[in-house]
Amino acid sequence: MPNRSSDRPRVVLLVLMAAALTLLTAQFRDFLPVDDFQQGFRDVISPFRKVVDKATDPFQTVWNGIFNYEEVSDENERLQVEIARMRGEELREEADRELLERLLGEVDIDYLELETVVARIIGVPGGNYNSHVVEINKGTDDGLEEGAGVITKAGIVGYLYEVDRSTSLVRLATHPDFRVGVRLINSQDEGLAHGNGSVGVLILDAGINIDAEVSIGEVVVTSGGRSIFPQDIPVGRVNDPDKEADYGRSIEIDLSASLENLSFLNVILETREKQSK
Amino acid sequence: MNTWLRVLTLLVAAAILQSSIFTELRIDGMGVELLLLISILSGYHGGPIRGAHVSFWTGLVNDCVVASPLGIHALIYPVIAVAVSNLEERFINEKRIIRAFGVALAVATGVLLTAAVGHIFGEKTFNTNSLPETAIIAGVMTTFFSKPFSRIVNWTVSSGMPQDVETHLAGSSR
Repeated sequence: MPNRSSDRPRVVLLVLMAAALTLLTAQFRDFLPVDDFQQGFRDVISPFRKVVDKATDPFQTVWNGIFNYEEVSDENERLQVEIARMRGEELREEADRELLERLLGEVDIDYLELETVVARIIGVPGGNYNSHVVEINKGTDDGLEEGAGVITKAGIVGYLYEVDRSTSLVRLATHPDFRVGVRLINSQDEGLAHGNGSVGVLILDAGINIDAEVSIGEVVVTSGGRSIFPQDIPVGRVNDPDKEADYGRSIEIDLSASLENLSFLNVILETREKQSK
Repeated sequence: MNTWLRVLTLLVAAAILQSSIFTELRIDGMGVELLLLISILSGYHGGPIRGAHVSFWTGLVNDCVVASPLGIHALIYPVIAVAVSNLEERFINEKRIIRAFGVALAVATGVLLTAAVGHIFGEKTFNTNSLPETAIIAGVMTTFFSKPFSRIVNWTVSSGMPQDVETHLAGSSR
């Protein structure tokens, strides 16, 4: 057995804890080498990760088959329904698009074309520390930057909060730290919505008047301005307008993008500066 | 091989495993805490001082892997390792199931402490609604991998340490 004195471990422990706190302070004060060290480490192990992922793919498939069989089965069923629905909508959308372009042409407004990068979700970070976070297969090599908005055709998804060379982490809209400026379509009221950790829900509790007319099912879109998201990107629909609030309304919004069933995402390349020009 | 070279190799290998195969091995979204397991085992096999040092570096590696602020895991893991080391002598002769329970408890405690420290530093990364559930499932899942990793960590952190000497006297009842 190792020779242990009673005091030395305590001293060592205190020194190590002080070192950890120093590093934390450096990180929170944006001492850049700390961030670079973390990114560098992830970049170095990234190729090895890919090799191990590839080599253990059959094992992962078996695991998912055993422990996530019901989810896979439900997902399959949902996708079949979705395909059938989309086939029907395809024709209608084509007609709608023609009509929209004709109308926009008449009023002389450019149709908003966003420059985006399509990325595939490759998983979630290891361990249990990060909830409401997914990892995508694109990084700085593909022109992505920290803070870029992430969307799908259905609506907002989140934003990039860590970008490495070939991968990035997306903080989903349901994360408690996520904030987005939104506009209610009927009343044209604008406010600030945030995630609250619940699946598929945003809370709009800032900027909306207590007596504003908000109805269940009302469409909510992004308000643009200085936000990372351009205006008029779908956010979701009002689920609970909180009409009986005495003060400080808390409107619940169901997100239009299904964050649990994502495969591909679009990362917006346009920055706030470009949009404001 | 030099002990610290072994530790470096172990930590890099564990980081690769944690960020590849172990991201997929999840039950209801909750996963294995491989690097926390290595901290616990380094405290168990390496004693409080060596365990604390190895755990500190393990915590830093985990901070890099999960992109948490550098130092959050490094603050907690040495505490867990020293606590495990202090309890090790009481558990060493216990049945395997008791020791397994001890590992699960240490992992669950590590997950809860990390969440608490993260919260203090303004990191709302844990889903607080399911935190106890996460800690328990992570503890149980991680314990399943403790046996093979125990041998590896023992080999890694015990080099250069004095070995136990067994004496068998003639006629001894042992």
